[in-house]
Amino acid sequence: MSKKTFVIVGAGQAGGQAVQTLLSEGFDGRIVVVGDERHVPYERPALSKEVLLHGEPQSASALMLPAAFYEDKGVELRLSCRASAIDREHKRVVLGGGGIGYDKLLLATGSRPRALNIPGADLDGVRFLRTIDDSVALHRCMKEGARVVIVGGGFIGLEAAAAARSMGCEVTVLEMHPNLLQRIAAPHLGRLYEDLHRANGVEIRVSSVAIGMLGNSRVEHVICSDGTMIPADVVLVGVGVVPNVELARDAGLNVEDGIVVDEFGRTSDPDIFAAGDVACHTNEYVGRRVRLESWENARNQSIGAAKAMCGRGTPYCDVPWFWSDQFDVNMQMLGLPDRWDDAVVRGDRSEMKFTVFYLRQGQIVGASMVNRGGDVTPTRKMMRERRIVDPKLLTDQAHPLRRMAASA
Amino acid sequence: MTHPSTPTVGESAAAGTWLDAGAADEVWQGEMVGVSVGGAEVLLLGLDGGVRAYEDKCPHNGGLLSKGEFCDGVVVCTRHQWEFCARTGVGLNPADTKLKEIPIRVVSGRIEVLVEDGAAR
Repeated sequence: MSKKTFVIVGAGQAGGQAVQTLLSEGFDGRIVVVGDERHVPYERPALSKEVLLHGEPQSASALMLPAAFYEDKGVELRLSCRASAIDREHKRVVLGGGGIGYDKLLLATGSRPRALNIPGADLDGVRFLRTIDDSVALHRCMKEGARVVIVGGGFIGLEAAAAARSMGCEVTVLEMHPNLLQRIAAPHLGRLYEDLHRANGVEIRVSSVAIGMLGNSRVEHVICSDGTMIPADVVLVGVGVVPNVELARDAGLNVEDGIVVDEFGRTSDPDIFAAGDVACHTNEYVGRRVRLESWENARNQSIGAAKAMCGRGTPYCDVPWFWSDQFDVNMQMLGLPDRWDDAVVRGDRSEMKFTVFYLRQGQIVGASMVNRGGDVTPTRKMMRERRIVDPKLLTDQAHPLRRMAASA
Repeated sequence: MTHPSTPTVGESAAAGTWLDAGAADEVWQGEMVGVSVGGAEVLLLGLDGGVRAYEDKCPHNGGLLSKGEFCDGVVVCTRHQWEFCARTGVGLNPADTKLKEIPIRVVSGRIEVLVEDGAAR
């Protein structure tokens, strides 16, 4: 019997991780990776940070493994190549110049930046930030004194704002909601980031909607809903992402806000798996179905799916964890709380070194660590165990969090 | 403050210099400390009754490991939760990485580390 073929569509972090896991699990069949970028798989967190700041993809471990690794292991990389359909009946992925038969298929197609549907959004100089090429190109535009307007005050927009400001650009951030980081963080954290960026010379305009862009072929101004015209040499649109679900949806797989998978990364077709930004799973800690756009989810969901493809699945479900680095502030977040009945602070807000715990019925349902990364591990342990905690102990710095987490 | 010591013949074969990194009894067992030695950032770990030295730099994106945590034989760079075995420097999470070990010796109760020429950053 001939060896099996596993096809991975998507050569981002989740796709690259799946290759590594398949190899470490001893899969000895054929592995084909199809990716529409020209690069071998890489990680994206540095693209809005170090890579953007220095313009060097190699400067920050963005590349996961060199091309030679794939060659040595006999992994077939079909780069700059887009899969156009999945023929589930014949178990084939359809590509531009033919197709590849699969025994198991992993969809790691990721997500793409959400477009801004306003007049002038197609002008030159209006950019997105998703790929290495995007990041390097944006870096080249961010010359000292350049006027950079960023539409969207989420993680991508704010990290890019910090990088642009560090390069000496004049930076304006437009956020349509009253608070920065509206989608992911509590309002007080949004205000903290507003203060941080203002202190570093970034102009922050909240409750401000971009309604158009003006210019002769190149963007020159961004028009706000209140009529303000903001001069711009370059505009970065960072208003979220859209999961690349088209292949899965057209193939008739169960798709909601992402490809629906179980804890083993399985889609509604037992031979097709999905992982990373494109997949949504029921997260028992969050209490609902979530699609996580995070480094850790791309990694661990992919590991789980690759193992399941080899028939050795271990269920993946964890307390979500995110981080963001802006200027000299490192924030890490656990959970995706949408409701809490108490919020307590450990540490010192004025020194920008504190953790906020969000509690619901005595359990920690979320936490934000600002320059206090050491609190992540013990807090996550207590969240995984759904520990009922004493809020007074959480705020008492004389009481080590580790000891609290260790005691049953 | 650093004080270059006289290299012993035969011990500085690598392109480096043995430099003083403080008193050995100042690195407590089970604890870690970051020191600047000849322009190089060095992480000293008190472990197994002795002291180990690694480059004080997370291979992820260069954060100072000495600002992280050292607990149960594991060094954690708390910026992004990368974990390393204190004994070997091998990455535990993620696994495909390793801390750069720095040769270390104790001479008359003083720690000396072999700092590569041009290691200053």
